[in-house]
Parts: sequence; structure tokens; C-alpha cells
Amino acid sequence: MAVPTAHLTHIRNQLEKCRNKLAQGSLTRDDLQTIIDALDEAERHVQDILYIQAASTALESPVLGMSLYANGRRIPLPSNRTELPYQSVIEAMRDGWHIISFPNTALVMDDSITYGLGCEFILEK
Amino acid sequence: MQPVKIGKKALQTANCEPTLNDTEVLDFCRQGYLVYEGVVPNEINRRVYEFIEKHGQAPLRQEDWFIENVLLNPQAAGAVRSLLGEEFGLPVGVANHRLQCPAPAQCWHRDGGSRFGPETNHLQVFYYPQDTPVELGPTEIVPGSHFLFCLQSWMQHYGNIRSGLRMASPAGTIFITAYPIWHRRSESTAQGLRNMLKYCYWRTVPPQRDWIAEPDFDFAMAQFSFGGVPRQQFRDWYDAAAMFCWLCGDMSILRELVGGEDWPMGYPPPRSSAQIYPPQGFYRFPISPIKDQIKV
Repeated sequence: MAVPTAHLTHIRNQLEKCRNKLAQGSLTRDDLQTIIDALDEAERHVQDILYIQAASTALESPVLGMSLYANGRRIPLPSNRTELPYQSVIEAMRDGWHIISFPNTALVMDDSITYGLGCEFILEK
Repeated sequence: MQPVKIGKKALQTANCEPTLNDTEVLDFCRQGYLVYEGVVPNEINRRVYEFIEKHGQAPLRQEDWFIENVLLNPQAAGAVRSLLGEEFGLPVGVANHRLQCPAPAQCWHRDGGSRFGPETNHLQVFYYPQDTPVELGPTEIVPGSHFLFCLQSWMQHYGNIRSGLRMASPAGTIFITAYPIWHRRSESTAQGLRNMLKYCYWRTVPPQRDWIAEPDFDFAMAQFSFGGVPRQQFRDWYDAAAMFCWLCGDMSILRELVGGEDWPMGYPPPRSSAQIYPPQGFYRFPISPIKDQIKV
């Protein structure tokens, strides 16, 4: 089974935390258990969801916002905006994400209101 | 008939000289916030911090030293006076968004009861009594989002917003925001306690352009466009212009500027570099008066 990138990132982050704690002499049994738990969860095939708010309905348009749920939990994304995993919807598709919802045109029937943030795509793995 | 009881808190008002000029008021309209970094003296910040530890934040607004140095801080109160007019109402309550860090980011939201439109009848203000670096989860805002209508329950899934701005600032910083601006507590990574006080000022007089008027300020050439969160073309221009004209207390300025009062305008707005649209004398006739003249 191929482990999704988000799971690998999460496991890697946990390992790095453990390495730092090991260097400080504060590594505990619980710290290691978090990695075992993360590996167990990676095997459970929970649907991953990626919300992308784009500047327009074009798949190539730049990302305005993004949030990621992987393995049944919200994954914090890099605080540095340039380090977001994808810069457009099409970049995410090239990484194996499938669009399950296109921007909702029912929200733009009245152009006197700007509703929400950009055009929202919902993708899954 | 039984008398109706409405147990409202008495409003204490204050007055001072306005400190903002046209350009600065317009900047607030476009971005939805103004920042005054480190304007409260450190001894007051320390006193606030210690007071909160002993008594909580609620009694602060009855303390003369707090009113004088924080609520009526010259820079912040001057801006409040500019935006809300004379005899602005002081906060009737002070909330403390106290947090034991580290903690994950809060969900994006705009505060309950937010109205979508140009009116500015109260202001939402944040005050840091302690240094609040990125590691202590400062408030994050989306500049220009006070014009973005969204139900609070429909924005909880938003995550990293590219134009989000974390207001990491030294102790004594006050930032003033339009009430409906999108905001959240950002993720914190350090160990420690974060206090952030939040309160509102209230308008008691009709809006008018009684801040510092710039003699050469030309409404047709003013920089109303913001260019923050991408929106329908020119909508940022229109919303900021409508808010500015509302604050001036004269929506006829907007009608004069664009030839009508409502959105969409039907053509591009005036530009700051070269005023092309609409030409002088143009008026966009609405559909209803013409309909009234048609005999069916």
C-alpha cells in the first residue's frame, strides 16, 4: 500500500520531534507510541480531504487558501505561505488528488454579495 | 400593560482630537484595520498583566489608570475619534483571550452579529499587554475581509489563507479593526501564557468628515482599490469608496463619483492614476423610474 504524502509528512514530523527529544534526553515511551499510532492510522485508509480556495474557477489559478484533513485529522500547513504544498488546483491533481466538488455557482447568483473566500474546490485521495 | 424592562449598561463617552487624515481613514476602509505598535507604556502593560492575574480583566474598565493609558491612549483614541466621531462610547466590557501556549490555530471567524456593508457604528479593538511574537499565537487577520460576507459556520474549514497577516507585536500594541473582519488566534509553538484584551468602542453621533481633512484630497483620484484577497473586478474599489462616503456622512459623493449608488457599476471605476470613467455629467438611470414612464 502506498502511504499518502500527508501521512509521511506527519510521521516524519513526529520522528524529528523524537530525535530532538532524544538529543535533549527527554524522549519518552509515549513519544515513540505516537509514531506507532501514526503508522497504524496510515494503514486504515481514511479518506483524505483537501480544500483549496482558488482565485478563479480555472484549475491553474493561484491558491488563496488551503486546508488539509489527512487520516481523519486536520493537518497544520506551513505558516510560510510560499511553502504551501500546492500553488494551484492542478498541481494538487498532478499529485494524485481528485476533485469531488467544484466551486458552487449557487453562491454567485447575486453579484451584489461577495460570498466567502474565492472559488472553492474540494479534493480527495 | 406591564412596563418593559431593558437593562442596558450606561455608556460612558469620551472625546479628543481626531488624529487621522483622509488618507488614513481611507486606508482603514480599504484594509479594515489600523495598528499602533507599542503605544502603551511598559509600566502600564506590566500593571495590566499583574491586575489580570489578581482580579481578572473585567474590572479593568473601571480603573482610571487603565482608561487613561489604554482606552484613551492618545494614538488609539485619536483614531477611534476620527472614525466614530465626537463623544464616542467607551467599552462596556473587556474580554481577555487568555491562552496557555502551545496551542493549535483557532478556526477563522468573524464575530457574531457582524453586518455586511459600509456602516461603521462600532470598532473592534485588540490590545496586547505583553510581547506577542509569532510563537505565542498572535491574532491573525485577513486584510480587506471585512467586505467578504460569509456565515461564520461556513468558514470553519478554512485553513491557511495566503493573505492572512499575523499581528505579531510588542507589548503595548493596539490594533483597531472593522468589526466584521475575519480573524483567528494563530498557532502557537512556545510555552507560556498569552493575554490579549478585546473590546469595542461605540458611535453616538451621525458620521461626518470631521477628521483631519486634506485640502488636496480628490475623491475621484483617491486610491480606493486594495488588491488584497482577489474579488470580482473593482468590487474592492466600490466597497472601500462606499465605506469612506458613509463615514463622510454623505452617500451623494458616491453617486457623484460613479454615477449611481449601487453595485455593479456597469463600467470600471475612476482610477487614481488617470481618471477615465465615468465622465462628468454621466448618470446611470436605474430601471424603476424609466419603467414608471412606460405605459403598458
